[in-house]
Amino acid sequence: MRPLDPDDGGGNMLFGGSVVPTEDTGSREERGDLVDQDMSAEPAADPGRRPIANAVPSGPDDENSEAPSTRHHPAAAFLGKEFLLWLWWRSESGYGNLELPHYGSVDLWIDDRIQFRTGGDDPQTSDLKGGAPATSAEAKMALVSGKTVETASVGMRVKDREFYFSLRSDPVELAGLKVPGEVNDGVDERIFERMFLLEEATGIVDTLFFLFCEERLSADWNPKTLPSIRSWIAGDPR
Amino acid sequence: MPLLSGAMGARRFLVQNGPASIRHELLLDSLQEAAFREPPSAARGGENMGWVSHGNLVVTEFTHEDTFYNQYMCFSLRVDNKRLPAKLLKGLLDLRIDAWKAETGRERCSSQIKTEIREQLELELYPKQLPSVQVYDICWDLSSHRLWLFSNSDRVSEKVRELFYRTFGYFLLPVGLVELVAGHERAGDWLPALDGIGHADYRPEVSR
Repeated sequence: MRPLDPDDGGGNMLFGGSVVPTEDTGSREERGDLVDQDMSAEPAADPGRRPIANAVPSGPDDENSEAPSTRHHPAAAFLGKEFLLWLWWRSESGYGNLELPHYGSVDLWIDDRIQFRTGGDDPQTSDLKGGAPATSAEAKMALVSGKTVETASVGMRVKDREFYFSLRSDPVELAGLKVPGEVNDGVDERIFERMFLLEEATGIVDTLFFLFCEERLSADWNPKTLPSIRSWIAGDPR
Repeated sequence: MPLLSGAMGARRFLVQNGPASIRHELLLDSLQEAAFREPPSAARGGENMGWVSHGNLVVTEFTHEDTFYNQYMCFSLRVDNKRLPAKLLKGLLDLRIDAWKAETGRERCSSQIKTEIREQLELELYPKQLPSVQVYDICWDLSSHRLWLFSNSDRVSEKVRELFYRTFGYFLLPVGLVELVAGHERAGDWLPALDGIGHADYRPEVSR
């Protein structure tokens, strides 16, 4: 192990790294050292995001870290499942269109696969595939019987770009992300385009998650939102 | 190569205490030191891993042009695994043991002899066996201290975290939902509120 620059504890930013070419600060000879790029400039932050360098858990063997651990937070066990269910509910209300800060109008739909499971050590699972399984009676019955959403294939449209991916609940991350790439030539160009699209898709999902948090942690959750979701599950439009 | 084409499965990490100022040559040197190397002997099995160029898994010389793309540092983890087919090994081992019994006139073969025969067999078979090869792309955003691993596998994730720490001296912290909450400007309200909630029961009243 060889720390690259032990005296340098630069500001960590978890978010907000937009794909912006780094400004050329002159040749190596002109600068007279080996510094290729000045990475001290903070990237443009998305709304609602802040540095969390001291709020994230330490590494697996880092016993000396003073950072409070969020890794084993009890909410981590259910937050992803509830988020997926909320996403499904929101995708079926208002024609699946959401107005998101920073991204604008986003269309969202559950695509061609949704998986459920019960809790416990010996879980039962349901895997609905093909067509639009989220609209089927079986899907709602899975929720009625207390199953949680484990994975959903999601379609998303922002501006003229369509994304398709599978969203897992634990951990919540994108799998099988298909992006609307247009560049076919040039390694540099393909990397920039695909990283831009990956960060856009991830940023939208993050923003949706923050909307979910806004509702889930508000005082209106129990009296208003939760009953609405239950009515939707029961097929009772409210 | 999900970094360049095809569907992407991606996991996010935060590079803990990532440096504000980076010397690319040092990063390349570190990468080079932990580059993938063929095992010293072809007659050994097991796992072997190291960094390779993101463009070609047999290229282990890292150049500035093929590694740095503005704020991104791109490379791949190559994991080779060489195993012998268990059923083939058992079949050949049984034949060798039978031959040993016939040759020595003994009815039983001790476990020590079995081990020796097995090791001899492995020495003969491993050089003929090609490893299974897996490659996982990595993109390190040096400006935001985020790292993208193009795999959703926990096992791969742990390998990358371990080798990344050994290579660069930085921990990779997986970014989960609670970390997202902790990174939001309303974390001061939301984190305590998270402490006070449990899994909601979404079942309609009639089914409870």
